[in-house]
Amino acid sequence: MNEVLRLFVLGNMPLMVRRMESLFAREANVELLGAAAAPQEAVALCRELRPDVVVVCVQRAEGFHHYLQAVRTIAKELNIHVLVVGRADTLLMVWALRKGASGFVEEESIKREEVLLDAVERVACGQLVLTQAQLKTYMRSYTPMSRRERELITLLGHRLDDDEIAARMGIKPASVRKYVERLRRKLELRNREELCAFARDLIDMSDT
Amino acid sequence: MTKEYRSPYGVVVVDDSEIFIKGLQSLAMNENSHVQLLGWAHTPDEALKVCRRVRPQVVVVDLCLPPTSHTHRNRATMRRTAASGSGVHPTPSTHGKQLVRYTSPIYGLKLIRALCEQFSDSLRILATSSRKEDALVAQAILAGAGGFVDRDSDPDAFLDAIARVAQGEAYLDQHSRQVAEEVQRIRKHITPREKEVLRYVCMGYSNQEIAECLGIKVRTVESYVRSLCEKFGVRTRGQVSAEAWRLGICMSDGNGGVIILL
Repeated sequence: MNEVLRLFVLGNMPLMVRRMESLFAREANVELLGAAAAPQEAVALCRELRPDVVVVCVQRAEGFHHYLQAVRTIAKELNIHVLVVGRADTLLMVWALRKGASGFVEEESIKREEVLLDAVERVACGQLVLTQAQLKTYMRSYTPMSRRERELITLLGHRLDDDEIAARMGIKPASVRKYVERLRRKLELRNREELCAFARDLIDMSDT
Repeated sequence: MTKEYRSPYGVVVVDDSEIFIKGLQSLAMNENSHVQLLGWAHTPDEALKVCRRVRPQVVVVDLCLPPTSHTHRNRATMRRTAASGSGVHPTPSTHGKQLVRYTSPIYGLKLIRALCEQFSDSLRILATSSRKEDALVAQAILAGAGGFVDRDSDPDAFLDAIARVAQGEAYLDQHSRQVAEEVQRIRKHITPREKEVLRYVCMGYSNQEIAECLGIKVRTVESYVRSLCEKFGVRTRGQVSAEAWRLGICMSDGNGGVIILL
């Protein structure tokens, strides 16, 4: 990219934000317009300054949904590309994308600075920044489920076995296996282990 | 750019254009190339055979492929299929017979699905096409491709796409991802019967005609059409058809037929 990339950083991960500030300050083709910890202040600044990309570093702590709200405003109202950075967290990734983020990178993966710079550049070009595995999971999150299926998923996510699930749902253990198979096929997962892993991720989602 | 490439990636390319394959071959032979062309194929069947034999890490699939193998057709068929505007081009063959190929993205998408089924996680797929509609990209991703690159990209961008997809990155633009979401939503809500009715609606059949084809009452068809309108978020059957075509849910099979990809 020949033009200078105008960037804004926002987040509730102070160390990460500070690290980014110093990284972007050193980069010749990036102009850091500002960094903020408060979501509303950041949105107001973005409205005024119109950066090319906003990097949001968010962790699941109290009030983190304000940051996701900010992602939504910046991405959908202001039409500015948003890159979300967070811990390895399925829920966060899915939510960030649903709110309009153009990409999600895990904290681990940006230990090498060029990975972050690359992600920022690609997002600025209109590319999606995700791994193939994350994209698959994200697309899978669109599967609608009946009340009964939700019940089953919750119980699977809490690591109950067939007999316990059968007791809770008021059905036979054999029926549980049938439900599980149907749900697995509906979610396009390969085996019961994958279904249980997915269920555990969903439990996380509903806890917040 | 992730400029550090490790050892070369074994690549198979599936494309009905010999020129394109030769182009990729010559790029792959450059010194610093991270692409090792292990094989190529012109049709879906050949592709599956080649992949089973050479076990590549990445398969580059041109979406517009012929159905199975090149078929011989007589002139009358040529005229008929050419009229449907589905990309039929008669090519002179070396045997002196008229060789007619029709191609459609449907076959490329089918191949992607077959590759995913047969090889699951042991290979990655990069879809490509000279057609650039978001809907096509979306369908490629939903079929299981890890990414889509414009066939007319410059060589460096193309090779970069191969490397990224080989490394497990998704490679697509944001607009296409939005289309993929729209398609996915509809796909997860529509029933098999509604899919059948949708196909006839997209072919322009009236409720009466649909009822006759499916052997059900007109009232039943009407209720399916109403349900489709709801699921597509539109008011009229015409809009359902327009949306289905726009989202690439409905595609021409290159031979006058219409296929629903959901």
